[in-house]
Amino acid sequence: MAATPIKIERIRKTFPGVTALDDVDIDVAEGEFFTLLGPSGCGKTTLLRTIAGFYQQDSGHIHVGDTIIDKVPTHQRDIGMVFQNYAVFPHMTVAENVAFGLKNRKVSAADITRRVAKALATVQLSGYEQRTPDQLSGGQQQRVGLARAMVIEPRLLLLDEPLSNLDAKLRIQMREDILDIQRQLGITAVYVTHDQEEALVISDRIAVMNFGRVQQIGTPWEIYRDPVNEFVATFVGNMNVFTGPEILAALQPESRQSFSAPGGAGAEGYRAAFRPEDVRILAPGQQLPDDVVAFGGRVDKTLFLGSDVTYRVQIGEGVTLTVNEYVAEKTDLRDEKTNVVACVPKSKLMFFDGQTGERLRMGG
Amino acid sequence: MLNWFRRNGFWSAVTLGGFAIFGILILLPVYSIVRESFFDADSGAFGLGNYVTFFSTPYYFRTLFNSLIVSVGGTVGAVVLGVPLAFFTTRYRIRGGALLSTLATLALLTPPFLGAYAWIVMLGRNGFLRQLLMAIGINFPTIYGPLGIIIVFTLQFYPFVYLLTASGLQTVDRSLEEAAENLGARPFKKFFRVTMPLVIPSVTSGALLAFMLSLANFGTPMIIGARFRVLPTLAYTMYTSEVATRPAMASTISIILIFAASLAIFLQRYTANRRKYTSLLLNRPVVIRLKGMKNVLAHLIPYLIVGLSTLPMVVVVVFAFRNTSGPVFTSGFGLDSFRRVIFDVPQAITNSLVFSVSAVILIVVVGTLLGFVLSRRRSTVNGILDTLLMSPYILPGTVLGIGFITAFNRPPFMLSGTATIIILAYFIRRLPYSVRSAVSILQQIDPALEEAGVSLGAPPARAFRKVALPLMIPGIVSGAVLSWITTINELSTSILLYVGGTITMPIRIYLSVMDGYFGPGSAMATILLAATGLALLILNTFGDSRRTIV
Repeated sequence: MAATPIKIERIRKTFPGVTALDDVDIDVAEGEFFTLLGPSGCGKTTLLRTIAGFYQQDSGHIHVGDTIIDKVPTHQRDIGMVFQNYAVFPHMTVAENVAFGLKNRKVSAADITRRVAKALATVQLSGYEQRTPDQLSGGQQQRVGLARAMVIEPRLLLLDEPLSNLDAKLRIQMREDILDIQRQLGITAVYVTHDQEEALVISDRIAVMNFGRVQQIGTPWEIYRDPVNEFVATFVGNMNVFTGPEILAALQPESRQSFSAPGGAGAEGYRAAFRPEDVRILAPGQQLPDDVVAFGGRVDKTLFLGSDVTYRVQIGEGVTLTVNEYVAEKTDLRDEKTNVVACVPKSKLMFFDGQTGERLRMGG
Repeated sequence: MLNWFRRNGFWSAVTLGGFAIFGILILLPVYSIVRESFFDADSGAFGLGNYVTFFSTPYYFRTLFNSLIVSVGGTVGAVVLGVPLAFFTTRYRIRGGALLSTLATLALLTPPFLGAYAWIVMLGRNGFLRQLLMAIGINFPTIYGPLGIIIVFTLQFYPFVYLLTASGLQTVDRSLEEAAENLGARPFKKFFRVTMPLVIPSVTSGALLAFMLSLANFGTPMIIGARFRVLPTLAYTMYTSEVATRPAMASTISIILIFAASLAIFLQRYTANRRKYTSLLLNRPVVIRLKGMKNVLAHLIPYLIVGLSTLPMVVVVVFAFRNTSGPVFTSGFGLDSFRRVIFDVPQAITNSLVFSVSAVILIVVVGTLLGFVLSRRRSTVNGILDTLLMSPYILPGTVLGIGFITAFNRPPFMLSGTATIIILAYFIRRLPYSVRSAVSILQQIDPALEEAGVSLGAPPARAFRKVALPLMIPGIVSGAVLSWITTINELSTSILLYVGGTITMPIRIYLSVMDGYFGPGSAMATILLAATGLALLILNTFGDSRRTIV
């Protein structure tokens, strides 16, 4: 199975009344696991279906390897696809489903048997050849969909929210299985999801999309830790976001001197943000560490999640700060209604333009 | 043309074909009727003369009232029988419930004129029931006239109300009724304030269906109405009467009939779409097992209703086996009537089979292709076609018959007297149902399945053949069987289009009844009933026949 790079070049697609894809540029390296992430209606599925050939773009080009496939009919594109609702043919057995693409390619009967067996072994469905889809669980059906898409040894594998119909436990297991299979085959994969955690876990790189535009392309670490705008920052993971006046009002006296927004932006011109897990609640009487920004507040809610604890701390009138902490000892648990000081390292603070939401950087 | 085809492909050709079918088989006949209705029957002058005549002459005008009276009567009757039947069979455990449902469906699928005929056998001038009553000194009135028509309509069309209401009742979430109880509603109040309002849309929808079919029905008032004329029979008489043929007047009546039918269908669609309560149906309604007297009563009512509607069928079958001498029944039973039907007039049987099977093949092929185009290739053009193709719904059989004669007795379509014209009439009357059914089948097949086929390297045509088509087959087969049942029982259009050589079974039965030859008529009707029953049996093996029928 040859790994092939693909290049999406200024793809534009409009539907009556909406621009679904607005000049999208993406490069996917060979063998890369690439994810399109975004809320529903952001254009990620449209892009995937355009690559597959179910939609024809208005303008722009799709390169697979050295060839432009814009004019290639869907059934000749040699692109494997895994569907959200499995799309396993209900009137065929598991083996017939997997063999379907091979028959279209006029592969010899002996080769079909051999390759179907191998594909089913890869997805751990050996022995299920003669079952019909109604005898399979959702997870098994999706494995059939996966086997069926990869058995044709496509140049590219597309996966359209393949896990969204599975229950939470199975979803976690399946996403690792998909990753294992993709690495084992070394195939280039484009994966669509709206689940940010899934995207972070599974991807080599992610493109976050919104309103038909690519907001940011980067590794999971870059997307999570270094978002380019407020949309990416808040869509991926949890984020405390405050307006300038809100944050200034909540600052502890010690922090007022050292706190500053980038580029000397006025209080109305920015929003400040940081992740809940970067916030620490000081023990009573504890000295304020260096290079932090501190807020005074009152614990409104203590939510015990097992592995960690979430506090909602009221730091101003109608302004709530979320804190995520690992708490090992019961004595360290903060009770509701107690006054606390919460601090966040300055290096973890991000600032976004109040109007555009673009990231404002220090010294910029 | 060839280029256009290559560029736009097969499915565009199907759309184009759909428009051609509409143009030739619907628009042209309707246009012919409309045109003719504007030429004065007496003077030949162009204008509204015929309409003025219709509304100013009591002889004509009264038929509009008559039509409304029997249609309203039949509808009320259908609701009175259908709603309780639905309630008892869905809420209480009734032994033989499946049998009741099958018999009600059979009653719905047998043509109304058979029912009318059976009632004449029972309560006609020489009806056996009436003579029986006379023998013990009761002078029971004959069945002829409006009351007879209403009885037949009631027993014919109540299954629509029953089936729709029953499915409505089955989808009322139990939690809603439990919530009502929890909030302190007594059973009686619970039924009238919660359950009933939720199924009202289903009842209304069924009732309007019954109304529309009553309005368009031709066979029943023709057989049992005697001198009581309704719009379809008046149009028919105006067109065929040997003494005073007035085709222009027949066309005018047809247009009025179309208007009345359109109004009814508009109301039906409106109520069916408005106030449709969707239910998550997490909790199915409970079926209560009754005890003692209540249980007896709960069984008695459904059995009585269904029994009454099955009675005509039983009578027809019994009388088919009675010995006859000419038009008179003699004592004893035998196969004489069947022998006479099969050996004297075999043509009616073979014609019926050939016509209906040919029509069904056309209906299935064209209906499936059009259904696919309309559901999978949405566009403005296809949306328009979808609406246009539904128009046969509002064309009563009699009207379509008159339209066909008017349109197709001159070049380029010289079809009068041929088998083709009857097959085409069957085809166009049933096509909307077939298209609808194909669309609803396709709605249940995920488009992603075909896409999966294409992405795995199958060209679109192969993907359709290998993926969508096999999944559609069961639905197509039930649709085909249903189409076959309705076409083989078709009377109102074919009676206007037939000539000696193209006579069919329903026409033969109608003529036998009119001539008073009840023996052969019953035998023919029994054959028709057997064919219908057999088809229904096939239909039931394909699962949910109820949904397909209504």
